[in-house]
Amino acid sequence: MIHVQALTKFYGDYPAVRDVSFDVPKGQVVGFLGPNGAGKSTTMRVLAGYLTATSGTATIDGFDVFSDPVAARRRIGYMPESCPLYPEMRVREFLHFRAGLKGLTGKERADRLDYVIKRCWLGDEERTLIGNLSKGYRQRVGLADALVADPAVLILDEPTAGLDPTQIRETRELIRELGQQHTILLSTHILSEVEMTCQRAIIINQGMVATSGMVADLKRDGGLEEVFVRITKE
Amino acid sequence: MVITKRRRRGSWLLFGIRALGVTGLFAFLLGALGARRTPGHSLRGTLTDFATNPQAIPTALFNTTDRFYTVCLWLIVLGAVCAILAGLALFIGGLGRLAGRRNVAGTNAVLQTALAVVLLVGVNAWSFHHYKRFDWTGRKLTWDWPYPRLAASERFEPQFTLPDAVVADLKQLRGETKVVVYQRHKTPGQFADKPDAYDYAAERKIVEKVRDLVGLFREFGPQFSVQVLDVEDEGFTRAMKDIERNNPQLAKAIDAAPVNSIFFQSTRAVPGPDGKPVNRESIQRLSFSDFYQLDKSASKAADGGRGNLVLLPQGIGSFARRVLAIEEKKPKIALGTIHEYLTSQGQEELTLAGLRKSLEQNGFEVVDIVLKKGWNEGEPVAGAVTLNETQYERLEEELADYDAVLQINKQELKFMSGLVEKLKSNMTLDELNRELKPILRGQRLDETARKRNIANLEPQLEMLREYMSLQEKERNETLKQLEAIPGQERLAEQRRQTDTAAKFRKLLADCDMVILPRMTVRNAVTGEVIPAWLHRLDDGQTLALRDFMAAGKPVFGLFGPVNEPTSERRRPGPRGPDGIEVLFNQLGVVFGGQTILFNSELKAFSQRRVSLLATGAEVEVPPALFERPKGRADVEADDPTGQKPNAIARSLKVVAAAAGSADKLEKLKLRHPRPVYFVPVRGPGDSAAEFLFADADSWNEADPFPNRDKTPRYEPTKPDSPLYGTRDAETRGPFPIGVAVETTVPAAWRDDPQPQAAAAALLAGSATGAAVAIAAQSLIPADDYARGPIPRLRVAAVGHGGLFTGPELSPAKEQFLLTACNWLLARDERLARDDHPAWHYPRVSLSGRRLGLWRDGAVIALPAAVAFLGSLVLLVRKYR
Amino acid sequence: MRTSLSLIRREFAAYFLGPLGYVALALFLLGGGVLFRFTVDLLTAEGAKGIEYPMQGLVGNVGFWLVFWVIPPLLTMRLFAEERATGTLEMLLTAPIQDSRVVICKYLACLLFYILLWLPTLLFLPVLLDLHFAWPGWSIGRALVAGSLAIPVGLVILTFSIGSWRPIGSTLFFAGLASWVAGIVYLRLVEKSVFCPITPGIDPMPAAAAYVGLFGSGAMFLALGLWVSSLVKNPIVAALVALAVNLAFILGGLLVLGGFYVPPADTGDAGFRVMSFLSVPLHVSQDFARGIIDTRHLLLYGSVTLAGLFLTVRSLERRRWQ
Repeated sequence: MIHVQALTKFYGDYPAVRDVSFDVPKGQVVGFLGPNGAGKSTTMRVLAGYLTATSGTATIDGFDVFSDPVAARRRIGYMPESCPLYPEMRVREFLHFRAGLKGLTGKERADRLDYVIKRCWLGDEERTLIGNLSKGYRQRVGLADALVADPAVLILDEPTAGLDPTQIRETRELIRELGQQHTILLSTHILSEVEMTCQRAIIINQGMVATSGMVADLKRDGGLEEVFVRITKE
Repeated sequence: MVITKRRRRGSWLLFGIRALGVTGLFAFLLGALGARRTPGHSLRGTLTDFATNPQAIPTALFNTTDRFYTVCLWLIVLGAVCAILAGLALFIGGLGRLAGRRNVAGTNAVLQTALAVVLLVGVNAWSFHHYKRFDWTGRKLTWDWPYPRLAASERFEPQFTLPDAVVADLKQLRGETKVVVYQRHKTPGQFADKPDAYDYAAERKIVEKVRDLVGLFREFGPQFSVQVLDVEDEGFTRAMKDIERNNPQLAKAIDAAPVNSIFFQSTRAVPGPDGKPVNRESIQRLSFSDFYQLDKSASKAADGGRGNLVLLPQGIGSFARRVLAIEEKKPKIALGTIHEYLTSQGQEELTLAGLRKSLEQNGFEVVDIVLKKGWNEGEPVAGAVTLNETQYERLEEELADYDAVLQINKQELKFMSGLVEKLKSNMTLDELNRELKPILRGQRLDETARKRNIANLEPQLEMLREYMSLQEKERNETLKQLEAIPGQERLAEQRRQTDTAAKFRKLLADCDMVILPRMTVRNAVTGEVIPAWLHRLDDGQTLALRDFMAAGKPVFGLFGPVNEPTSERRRPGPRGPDGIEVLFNQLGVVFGGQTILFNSELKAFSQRRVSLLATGAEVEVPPALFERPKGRADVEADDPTGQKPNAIARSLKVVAAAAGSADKLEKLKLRHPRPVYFVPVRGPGDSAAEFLFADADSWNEADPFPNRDKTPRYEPTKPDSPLYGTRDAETRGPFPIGVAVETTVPAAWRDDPQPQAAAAALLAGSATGAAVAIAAQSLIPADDYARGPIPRLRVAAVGHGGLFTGPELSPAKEQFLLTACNWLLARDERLARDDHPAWHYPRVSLSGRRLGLWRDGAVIALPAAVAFLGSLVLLVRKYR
Repeated sequence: MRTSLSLIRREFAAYFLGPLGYVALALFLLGGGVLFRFTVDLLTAEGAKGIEYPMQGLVGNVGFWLVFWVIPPLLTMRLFAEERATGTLEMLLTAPIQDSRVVICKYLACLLFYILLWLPTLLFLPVLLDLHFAWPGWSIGRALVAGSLAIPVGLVILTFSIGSWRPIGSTLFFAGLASWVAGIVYLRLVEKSVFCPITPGIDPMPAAAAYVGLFGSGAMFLALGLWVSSLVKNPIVAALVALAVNLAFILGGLLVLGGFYVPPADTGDAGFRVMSFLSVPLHVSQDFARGIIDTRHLLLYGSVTLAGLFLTVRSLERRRWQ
């Protein structure tokens, strides 16, 4: 589903991502792991189409992110790290707009809105102005937005950042559920999250892929933490 | 795999290069600032030197005289070098970056952006010179299925479109034209002392319209440059100095302009005398009122008395003609008077200097012809003498006088100096006594006497010599003046010409128009009169004038009343109208034999009875009218229906309206005029002939001079008198005193060489009935049209000889003069006109509550509505 | 198409969800109202005062251009700069919509708001053009045309509501449209007349030309503001830089109209020609407001607008390369 080949991204002289390659087959939940500043967000942004890679290729469902951006993005539901939203809009209005932006109309749009609102537990706050929502609810709105067009791939950048434990658990539960229907690539620096939700982990350090493997295997290897610390110390 | 640490910071080298570049720029700036204000050195000059002559750089840099300046130069040079090096290094470094998708796409983007910017600048640079302007005024939007179309509107006129004819002319124009708008804040037709708000507003509007019109012209034509000079402006003197420097002709013309004017100066290539094109410069003047005439009375009365600015467009024809510099020959007008005192260089009270000045300032040439000569030798006879001639003669006589005096003085000098010599010589007393015997006459000269005589005579000799040298100087001055008279050859020829009539004809041949002012009754109260018979012309002169008119050239007769005080009446001499008046009669212009007195003059007459000091100078007579006052019919009035109004009257009404009243010019006051009638002997003509009228408060008096026995008073003609019912009957006014006729030249004038002497004899009785009968004899015979096109002739006559007398003409009289002259010369396009729809500011009829609602509503209601709406919405968003 | 409409709708509605739109509207209408009052005074003046082209009273005043200078930066400052500041640009650029579409939609939204800004001035026209309405009375055709009032109502509903109101909104819109077309056709063919014969007492074409000029120049300033907004991260900075950029096109006109700079009397002077080529207030007050359509001005507006939009797209692309 997701195919990344020799992806490199320079910010001026600074190489944020160097020669990263990996594959995510359909239906897999992959965790992107790495210390802060490792290049996780950059890679996801390139995949989502917000940034353009300096060199290398990335394709989503066969559509090249650089040369066929609209088609690629249509298959992606992206949730950025800071979860930016329009504070002056109401929740349903916002989702209504995003659905329209992604090509949904009429009854289909109304139905999908009802669905994601229910799924992300936003039913009570449908008519609240986004500016008045707490962080947790905002994350849910972001997630709802990512889901609204029923994309094949979900790219979630630190989906549980800043949430309280209950919300974290609920979100992880949701992600596990979604993992059954969508391909998910999520990034985090919380190891337990990866262990709980993902089937595969890719560890990134200094802009390069340090390790990539199934979570089960890595667990056997001494635990994720062990692997992580070992890699980052080098 | 080996994971190498990434560095966020770039290399020291890159940092160094960038810092160097920035420092270099800063140093350059500092150095430039320091060097800019150094006296004696020009930064720009130095930099250009550096650019052109690199070897100069080291010398300048090591020049230690001005340390500060040298330091600045160093800063400039080093700074520039560093900045350039850094820039180059960065550029080259940038070029050598990683290859890959980024570079290709990046260059692509840069190229595209550069192309976009180039395209943007290029398109606009192109359109700066190639553009079209569409005039949407005066149109309306119509739906011409399926496209909308702009068609001409019935209600409005296009404001920014030139007529096709003018466009065609302009397209052929070559060369540069400079337009100077000169605002003196003095408009013609301004008869009040100071311009008021209407005048100023009209001026501003006209300047705007001139600018617009020139802008329109610029679209088609060659270079047009516009300059506006306002005398009240601060920069005016400077601007005038500039013009004087570059363009002295134009400066002179501007100085001489009497009113707000627009000047057109153009340089055109015209074929010269040898066929090769020569650059000829021409300066033309157009006064503001020839472009738009302010109609002050309509302005004040507009909108039901609230006032508006009403301007009468005079058509852009005259404007266009000036621009195209259509060189028009100045018409030459001859002034025919009988004495030098009455010419335009004559005596203060009687001079026509004002007439000359007004005409010359408005594009005419004036020449005086004195029609009688030999005033010193008893009865004057007919002459045709130009002023140059009289001046020549006068100077010649003066010269002769000087020569005679000098001759005598020379002799005296010779004698006296001989005497003194003898006295001073070594001759003995005896010898002296013998020599000087005839002078001594019996007296004896002794030593003391001798010495005394020497002492007396020598100073006298000095004085004589001085006197003589002064006389010589004056004589030479006179000679110089004599030689300075222009046209010496022609003068000599003219003086040789003894045949008066031929001379007159020759003088007239150059001229386009003749004005004959015949001042007669100057003041009826005091009896100051120039007898009418003095003005009579002889047959030869009459014939010459007749042929002048037969060629279609106009004559303007200003014939004062022919009445004389009783003391004068005993002089013998021919009576009745002279040849010129007969000619006018043949065209239908008939002169009354009385003087028109106004009721307001009665006071002056009664005062005169009491005291001889009363001259009646302070009496005010009513102004002349351009339209017969309603309700009075003349004895033989023309049928007014179906006739076009008189062109002169119409034009003068427009001028008068500009001054504030519609049918008269307040300052055009004629005292003691003579009635002038139009009798349609050759058909009524298609426009009315009478254009000037004396007010109704008047009567025609046959004997207007008071004496001890009687004062002139209105005594209506009794029914049993033979004059009753005729034009000569004594009745109350109004009376026509000005007639302008356009007609064809009578056939009799064109083939009959002899004047109608028989007619002249019959007219001795001055009965107008007889004049009509004679005039009827010259009706055109039926077979005349076989002879070819008959020229049309325009003549005008006003019954006042002193109308244009005086050193300067008042604006009212000047307007009258110019209008009459332009009409006579068939330059109708220069007459003030009112046939175009007047221009005025648009007005909306809103008042009272509605006006208040609109005014307040716009300012308050709309923003308040927005605020209301906004608050509502924001409330809903917050709380719902 | 649907994506574009969504974006335009949301951007346009955004003006009304916060105070910005209302502030801009109120400010503009206040300025317009004051100038209208001033013009009405001249149109009903006594004596040698007056105004030949009423629209000039509105657009020939230096105050108008001071307001007009400020409005486009206000309208465009948040378009990209705010999105960058809050991060929502990321959301926008990762949606399945091309960059150029994004730019065009944002531009169209603010252009529509700009048009909305000018709509209330149409209320001034009956006085400015001395319009006389000869209302012939109600008839079938006229009633149908009057039904077109449903169009704006429907549009408002469609713009601001979601969910159950939308079908009502679209029915109103289409019904209004149909009613209008039917009314026009009926009037034309059957009753052979127009809705309401209007006679203008003052030539209306200069007013029409003035609106053309204002639309064109507004479009240009909005495009420039959009571009500046896409370069800068802070909306306030975007507004200030846009003010500076717009100043290049306005300064000369401000100085001339304010009387600080008297143009050289020689209007053919090269420097003056260059300055007036760029100076929008002079275009509108001297040419458009008097009924003269000059291709130079229109070409300037069009070319700068297109360039601005193009440069905005490029700027967005560069964003991605960073």
